[in-house]
Amino acid sequence: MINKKGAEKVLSVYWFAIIVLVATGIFIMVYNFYNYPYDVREIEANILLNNVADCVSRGGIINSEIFSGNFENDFFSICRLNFSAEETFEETQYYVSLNLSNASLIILDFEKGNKNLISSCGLEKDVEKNNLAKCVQREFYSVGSNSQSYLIKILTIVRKTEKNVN
Amino acid sequence: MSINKKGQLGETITWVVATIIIIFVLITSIYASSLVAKSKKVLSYDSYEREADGIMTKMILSYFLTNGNGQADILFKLQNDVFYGNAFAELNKIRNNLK
Repeated sequence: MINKKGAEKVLSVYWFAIIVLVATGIFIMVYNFYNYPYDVREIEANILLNNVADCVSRGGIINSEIFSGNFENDFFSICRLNFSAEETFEETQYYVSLNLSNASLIILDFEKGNKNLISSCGLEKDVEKNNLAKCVQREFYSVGSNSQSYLIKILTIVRKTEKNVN
Repeated sequence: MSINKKGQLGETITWVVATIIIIFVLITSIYASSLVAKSKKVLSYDSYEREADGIMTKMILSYFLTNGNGQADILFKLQNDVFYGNAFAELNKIRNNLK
């Protein structure tokens, strides 16, 4: 009888230990999952590209300010962009390159932001994908005031690896 | 005495095995949760189906605003580029509205 009581006590301590173990496991699982940041760099690069595209061409018509000659210098104010990131980053975390051409004639070709980020583009297959900056490139046609079509190429890159990948 | 001892040993082994299984399931689940976090928390435009594409819309509007070679260039690009929406369905919709 005494032996049975002792065994029950040992068993309840064991069950308590198992409950603590399972609870700790669940806590670690939830912590692991929610502690991992969302990687939104590709979406951020797409948003940046869409903003630049909207600035260059609205409703299929090219922004007339492009031909003013100051577009490159006033790019940030005209397109209402700001490349400053959180204080944790010392270097600029963004890059934009814009190329506008008509047939074979290049009308506008410039780049803004951190040029070192270009090296990340096209390397996705060789190096581990997540640690590289995300590149998005798209090109489209837009019409000028003279009804001529212009080809616009935009490349945007977002780094911010520390904030998006553990 | 011997039978009792054997019974106790059997019971102990059962609990030890059960504990090992519980620990194994927990470790697997913890590892799986970190793997799921790594793969599911990468968000991109391809992660979900989209019907609208701003760049595509710009090109379609440009198509109707130009003519001749320009229109042919735009049509060629609409045929060959990959968009997040159906370019030709959108093009035909606008074309029908303009009729």
